[in-house]
Amino acid sequence: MKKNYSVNINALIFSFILAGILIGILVAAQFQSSVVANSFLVDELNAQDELLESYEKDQKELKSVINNLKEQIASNREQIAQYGNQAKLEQLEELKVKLGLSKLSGSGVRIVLAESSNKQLNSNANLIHAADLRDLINVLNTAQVDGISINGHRVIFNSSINALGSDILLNKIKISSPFEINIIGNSTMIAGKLSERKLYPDLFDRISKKEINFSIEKLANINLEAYDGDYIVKYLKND
Amino acid sequence: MINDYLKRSLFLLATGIVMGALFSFQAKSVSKTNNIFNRESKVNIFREIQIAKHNNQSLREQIEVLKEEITADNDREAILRGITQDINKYQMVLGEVEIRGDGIDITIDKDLSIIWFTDLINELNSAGAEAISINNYRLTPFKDGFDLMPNGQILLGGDILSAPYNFKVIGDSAVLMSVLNQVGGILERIQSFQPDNKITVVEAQNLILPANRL
Repeated sequence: MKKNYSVNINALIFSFILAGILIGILVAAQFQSSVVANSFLVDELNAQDELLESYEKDQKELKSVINNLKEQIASNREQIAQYGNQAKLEQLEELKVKLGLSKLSGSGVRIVLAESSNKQLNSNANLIHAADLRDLINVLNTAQVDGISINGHRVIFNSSINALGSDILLNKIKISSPFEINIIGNSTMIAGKLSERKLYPDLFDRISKKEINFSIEKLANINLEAYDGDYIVKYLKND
Repeated sequence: MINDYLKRSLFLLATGIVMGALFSFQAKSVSKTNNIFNRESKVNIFREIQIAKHNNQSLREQIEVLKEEITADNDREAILRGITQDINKYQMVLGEVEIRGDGIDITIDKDLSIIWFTDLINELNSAGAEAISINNYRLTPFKDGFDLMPNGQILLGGDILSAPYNFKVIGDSAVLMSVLNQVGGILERIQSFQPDNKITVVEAQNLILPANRL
């Protein structure tokens, strides 16, 4: 009887402690909770997604029109080259090559970054983030590369790489894993810079731990498409 | 005896409540720590819609300019002018000539790590920056990665980059300021990570950016 009483008391004490902990968590959570300033209905979120998609569709069509117009202009200019302005055309083409506005071919490397199939509890480490691509582009820039593309889209020197939810936007265009990164440049220098952990420690460690799939191959002939836009210059002056 | 029992029970309950509250606060602080290392800006969908709309408008303006050039294709002089204008434009973008223009001036007082430079330049590019210099070094295509020396100093274009850092950015100053100062934006994240680092951003007229160092 006495033993039963003792067990009951212990059970009751444990219950009190557990109840207290739960109440404490709830009270603290209540104090820290805040009404979300912007609570959107699902319909409104869908409408925003659709609006963004329509802008992206428009963007593709506008870029296609621009490319056609540029080809027409290039053809007109070539025709006048025969009148002794070849030097100017060559100067223009050289500038366009440097800026990524022309196709580029050469030797280099191909990197493929993909999310690992070995999903772990920390699934965030398995994902490839916009910041990872930015860090990688920076590493490649230290290797003085001549041109880069990601999933066929040319990276220019003022490209932006941003996160939009689970998607990544490169130059305002959605790209998704796996990421095939083609680089024209000195493959030895590129490999050397990629081996320097200090330049991109977070991504380097996740690759080393196989949280992300990373492959690299040297290629003798890589073709990069031209950037499908142009540089907008409204504020620069040099006069 | 019942009173003792009641007192002990209440004490245990109070202890449990305090422990629960402490657990909850600790979990919240871990979450905040994770947020400091978040490298992406928030409120993306609105910003991206705004930028997409602005981008498409720029593309439409570009189409009009290209169409005008084509309608003058029978005019040899107009074609030559177009080539010269493009050469001039691309030389400015490439950094082959000194340039000037309105924009913003950013000063960051203390040392930053490479990831902050990478992210800040990305934000400026997102906001339509047309040219950027850091401590009077003009950023140019592909040859300008932020490298790290063995002693931890940052190297840019063969030069050591030391604090304070002065960014000169030519572009639409209103858009640039808006993007940089947004809630959860890059400057707020740098500031929360380094509270003692003084950051100032001002609109500036007639900024002068040097040509590339050869």
